Amino acid sequence: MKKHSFHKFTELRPALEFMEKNGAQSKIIAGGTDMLVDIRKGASKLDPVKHIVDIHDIQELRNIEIKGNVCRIGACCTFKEIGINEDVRSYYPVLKMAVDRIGSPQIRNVATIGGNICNLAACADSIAPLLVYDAQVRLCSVGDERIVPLENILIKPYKTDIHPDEMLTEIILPIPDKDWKYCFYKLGRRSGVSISRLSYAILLKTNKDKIEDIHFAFGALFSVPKRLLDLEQELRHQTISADLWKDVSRKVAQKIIEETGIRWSTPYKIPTLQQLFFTSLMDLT
Amino acid sequence: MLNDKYKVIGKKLPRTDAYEKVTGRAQYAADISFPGMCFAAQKKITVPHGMIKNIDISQADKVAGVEAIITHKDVPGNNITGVIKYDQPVFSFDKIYCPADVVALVVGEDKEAVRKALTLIKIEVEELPVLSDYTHALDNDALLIHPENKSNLINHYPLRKGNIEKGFQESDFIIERTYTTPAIEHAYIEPECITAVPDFRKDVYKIYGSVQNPFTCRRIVAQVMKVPLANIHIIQNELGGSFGGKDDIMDILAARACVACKKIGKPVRIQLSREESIIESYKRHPYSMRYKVGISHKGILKAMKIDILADGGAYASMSPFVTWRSVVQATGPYEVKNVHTDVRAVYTNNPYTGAMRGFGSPQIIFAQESLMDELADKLHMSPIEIRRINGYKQDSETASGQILSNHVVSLNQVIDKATKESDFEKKYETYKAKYSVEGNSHSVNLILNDNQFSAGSNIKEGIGLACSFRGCSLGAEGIDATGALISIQKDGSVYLISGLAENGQGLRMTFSMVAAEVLGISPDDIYYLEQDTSRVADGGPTVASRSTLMGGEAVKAAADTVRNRIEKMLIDEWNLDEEATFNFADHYISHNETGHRITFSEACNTAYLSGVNLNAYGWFKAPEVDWNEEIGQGPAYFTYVYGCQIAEVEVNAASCKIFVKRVTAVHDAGKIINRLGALGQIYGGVSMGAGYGIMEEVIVKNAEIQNINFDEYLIPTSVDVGGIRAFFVENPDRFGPFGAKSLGEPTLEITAAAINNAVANALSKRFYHLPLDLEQIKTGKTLYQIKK
Repeated sequence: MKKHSFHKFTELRPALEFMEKNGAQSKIIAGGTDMLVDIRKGASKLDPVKHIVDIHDIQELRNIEIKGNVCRIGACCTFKEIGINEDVRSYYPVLKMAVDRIGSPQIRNVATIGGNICNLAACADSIAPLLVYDAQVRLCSVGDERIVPLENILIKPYKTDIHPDEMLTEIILPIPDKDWKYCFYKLGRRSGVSISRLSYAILLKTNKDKIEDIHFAFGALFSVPKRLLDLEQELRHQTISADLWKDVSRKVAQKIIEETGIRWSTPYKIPTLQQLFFTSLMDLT
Repeated sequence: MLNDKYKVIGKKLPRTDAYEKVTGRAQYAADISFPGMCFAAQKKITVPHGMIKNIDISQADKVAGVEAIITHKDVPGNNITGVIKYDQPVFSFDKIYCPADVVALVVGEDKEAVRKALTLIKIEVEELPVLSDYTHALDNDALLIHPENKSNLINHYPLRKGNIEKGFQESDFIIERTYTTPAIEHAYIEPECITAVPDFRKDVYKIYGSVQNPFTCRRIVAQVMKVPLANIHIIQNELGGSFGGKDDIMDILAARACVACKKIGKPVRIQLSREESIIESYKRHPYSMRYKVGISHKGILKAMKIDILADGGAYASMSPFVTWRSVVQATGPYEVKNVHTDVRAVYTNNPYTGAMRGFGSPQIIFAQESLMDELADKLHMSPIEIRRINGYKQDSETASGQILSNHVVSLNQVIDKATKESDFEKKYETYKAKYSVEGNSHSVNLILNDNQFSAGSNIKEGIGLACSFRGCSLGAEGIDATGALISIQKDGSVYLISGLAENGQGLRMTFSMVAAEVLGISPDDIYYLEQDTSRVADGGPTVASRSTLMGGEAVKAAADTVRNRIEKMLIDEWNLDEEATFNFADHYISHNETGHRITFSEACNTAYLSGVNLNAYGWFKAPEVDWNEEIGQGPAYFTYVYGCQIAEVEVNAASCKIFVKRVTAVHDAGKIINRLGALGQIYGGVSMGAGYGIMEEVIVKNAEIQNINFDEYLIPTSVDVGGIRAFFVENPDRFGPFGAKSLGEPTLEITAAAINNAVANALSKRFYHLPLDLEQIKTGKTLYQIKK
């Protein structure tokens, strides 16, 4: 097993200073539920890594708070902490539904939302819900910070656009109004401790029989969790019908095939997604 | 319970080893440590089949901290071993047969040094073509795995009864179906661990580990070490699950550790990681089963032609015994006048396959019970009716010509109870009517057209039934006898041990309950001794659901012997009639007619002081059984058990995910001794059977296992199987202790078949391949992700 030096921080500032010097050769560990598996496997992506930087106990990154018209979720909040938070429950029910079903209770006790984003597995379950809520992320380095939409940093599986000296410190979610109908669907091979075969989050606002606004995002279907903004735009003000929802489901499927091509799982996933997505949209309306 | 004649038997009592297990005090193989202990890492090659040209250990040997590198050259005795046939190298030297093979051990106290040295062993291999598809193993031009055998055939069991041609002529319907089942992993929570410890006596070794069958292990180690059996002491640690899986693998690991132990004169441990465990341990046999069945208009089975092929993998292991059980039970619990069965096991380069809970029965039950439902459907009969017409009744004749007369044939009883408790008939008809019209159009196109979308709920419910009969214990596999040793101390406390081993199934508690009932004491008064081959006689392997029946009877015999001696003493003491009868209960021995009464411990003290022998050996040899290998006829087992399970499922027709909502399990295991343990067997067996039904599969590509840890090899979690309702029908057996028979394996063998029938009820579509995973049901095919 490869040896790494281990650096544990309990405050943000020294951690950022360490990253400024050593970021290119460091890997941040927040909960460790992905990283420790990679380390044990001797994953090649860890070859350039000399330092493991543990930020799990940086308390500044463990808060969930509402201030003004936004909710800030610290990057080191565990799924357990997010799942039991009252504000998350009332404003972001889709996020709650997603995090409550990640892994097992043991995993949820340590795995963090920041880790889920930064590891960026195609099947990362918390990302699709964050996308439909228009999440932004705060990326900090010593003496600098930037706030960008979450989708902007999702490049490809296991690759984010976070600079070596930067750290994801919080997720910023605008407070949505209460008119959204919502749905989160996760399909795993089993009901407990399962990795998503596919997942999606839907927010829908209707005005009589018309769509006022709709957001949807998908997990484990595209190379990274993804929202389909063009399709959402196209749907605004359209009249709701079973035929419309069939059409939407087909268009989503087509976009997936366009991006990923035909894979071993396509004959299963694509027909399955269309029927499930159609059923969810019908159930919402 | 007031009229219950037993004080202990049949009660719900907590296990005597529960406290240590739930508090973490119990010592498993990896918990113990010895001074100077070295660790051994195993050198494998990622080539499934090839000739070894050279083994170069010179670089590895130089690594500081490495004590020794062990190869075949260090083996004092047989380097070729096996539980039935001798075909598996302890250390590979000329050939690699499968990816589980081990060429060398690196031994040292420093794990880092050992790991480093492992990478420095250089092995030159000339790769050979690979035989991975077992259905072609008997082709004329097939590659031979063990060329000296001139064929890949491990064994062939024919069974011939009646006139098969005539039977088909008399049939109104004939259907032919092929069923396949996958290799699966035992998935015991504790990976293999063994430690060989040298003794101050020359050529004596003590071996500690998670060993299922200490006596088999002792035989193999003694052969490899070329020492007498008595020189090898196998001491069994607490076992973290086995399910039939800690037999051969542990024997060969013990042998390797012992070879290393002899060479360096220090304790040597081999402890497998989960990945190593899955790669190296044997699996359940994949089966391909072709059934041709003829039936009359009235639903009477006329003929069954069965052709079964089993993948034995690279080594014979238990294949000859596993497939023998299949040939005996292949028709299911149904009377068929004309039967023509062939069961063959073959060699391939795949992971070798051996014993696993069920042992050749879950496969054939999946086939025959699916088939019975399909036949019923064809004849517009209910699944119950067709089983009533053909099912075994008292004095029925089995496919092998055995008349079932010496025990209660309770097939109808278990079916009645299960169908009544689950409201089977009503639900079956309701779901059938509800879903049959819709059919189940699986799209071949990726993008659905308008009428391929379906409105409303995707959830469909189904209910399915399956039943089985099962021969108890070893049957005509071989010698079937076992013993138990009881030693009562002068204060009335008791040592107990039997020749069979605790594998986590609760044998110690069951045996303690048997002894406690006989002696009128509590199981808590019994100290069950650590399993050690030097303490008790070879009682055969702990397999075939034989412990309660065979070992329990031996324990009872031992306890009865001591009780008789105490009674004899009390007759003298109290001047009673020679025929006097005593009551042993609640720690007292009493003679009701005279009112004499003494505590059990006082009686023991008196006996001790009078020189009465309070120690005894009980022995039970199974009644005679017989098998004619040429035609597959004979009384295969001396008694049988019957079971019926009904599965209720919810299938999401869109995702094709199955939720096993409820299982009603009814088993006649004879008199229940340990009721909590028996319930545990059902809950565990059903969950394991559900995993076999809906998700478990060892994916093998080019002989290499693709899913080597539990992230990819999925087993059900506690939320994947809904309620399990367990019922016992207790027809006492004439042979077992207090009328007990077998339960462990029957609980698992039926579940997958019941689920398959329930899924057919929900979707109006039948499936022929396990597991019923998402892709299988959605596309009718198995889709795999192949690791790069």
